[in-house]
Amino acid sequence: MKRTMFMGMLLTIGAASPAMAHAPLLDCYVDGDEITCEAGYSDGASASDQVIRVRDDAHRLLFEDRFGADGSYSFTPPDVEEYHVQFEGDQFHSVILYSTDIE
Amino acid sequence: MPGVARPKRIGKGEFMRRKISLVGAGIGFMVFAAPALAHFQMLYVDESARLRGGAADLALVFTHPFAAGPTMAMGEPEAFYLLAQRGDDGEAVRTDLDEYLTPVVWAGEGNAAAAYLAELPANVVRSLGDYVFVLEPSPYYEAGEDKYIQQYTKMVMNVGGVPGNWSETVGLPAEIMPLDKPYANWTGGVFRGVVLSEGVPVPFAEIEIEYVNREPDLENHRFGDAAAVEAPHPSLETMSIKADANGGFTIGLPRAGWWGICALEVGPVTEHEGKPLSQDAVLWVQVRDMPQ
Repeated sequence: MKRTMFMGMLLTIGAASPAMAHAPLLDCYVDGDEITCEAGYSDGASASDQVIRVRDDAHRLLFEDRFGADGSYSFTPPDVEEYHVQFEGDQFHSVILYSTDIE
Repeated sequence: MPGVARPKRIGKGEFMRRKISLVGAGIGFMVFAAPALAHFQMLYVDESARLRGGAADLALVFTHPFAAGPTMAMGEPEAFYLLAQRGDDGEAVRTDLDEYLTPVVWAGEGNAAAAYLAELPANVVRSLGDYVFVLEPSPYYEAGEDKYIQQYTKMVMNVGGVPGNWSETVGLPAEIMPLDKPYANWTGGVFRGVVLSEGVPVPFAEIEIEYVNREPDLENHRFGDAAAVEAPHPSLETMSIKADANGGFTIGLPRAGWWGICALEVGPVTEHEGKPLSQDAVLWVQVRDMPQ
């Protein structure tokens, strides 16, 4: 029992990670008939080739891909009422933007 | 009696001559005590640290920011553009902004004079990253000093918090290179920079700092009526400092708002149309109060 709790604590500490040097940043906007998303970090680090996921409001995965070399990604808006965009960065960095905030 | 000074009696004529001299000295004192206000090329936007991109309006006004006037008539700028970059790895991309300029008459304390508004559509400042705005004005003839003034001016905006090229030099003849982000300063902090002439640091450069004391009203092309601060002494209206031996400087930021930093006569060209020319470097810094 004590050993299980100790291992659980180690995993939790690992997942929480030490104070991060940079914060993930994401913005999306209507770009003609498409949605363009841009990602990056507060210290200027690139989001190139990092994961972007789009899910519906039931959290079902609609699609997953990777940001381009310039940290941007464009897609046709999914045919759902509401969705959200997730930038899955490095070392447990993640940020979400809801479709209601995309203009 | 030795060692004791006695007042000397003077005649009426001598009295009048001394009285006139005192009055003249008093007038002279009032003239020379007038505030030493500095010319500043303003490149103003209401908010330089934006959460999201979108349309932005800027005011280009050549004026005395602390007193909100007088304002000097701007000629057509030689160049007005921005350099935008997202992240450390990106390359700065130039966008010329001349097409967005509208001539206006800007009113301030004492007069109104030619200035410009720049109404930028959303697609110009939409993406995340830094936007370094650059204004290369045409030389202004200052009759009072019988010389021309040309102030190469920068203002940096950021969208979304992703930094880019805020500290990069543009390659101007006279330029201030920031060592702190011009858009990310709390009241009570400091701001640092380096004065450059053709990219080379200028030791002991003469620098003036001035606060925008009355809120610019872009809709009505004027400064607001209320002054934020009353300076108790002329030396606190336009503050003067010198750069160090490496061209570097540090200033305190005592109040929220916009602060102009101007390095005087640091550009390489010193004559224009047969008159002296002062090529100055200007950088604008925005300061915010930390929320309680």
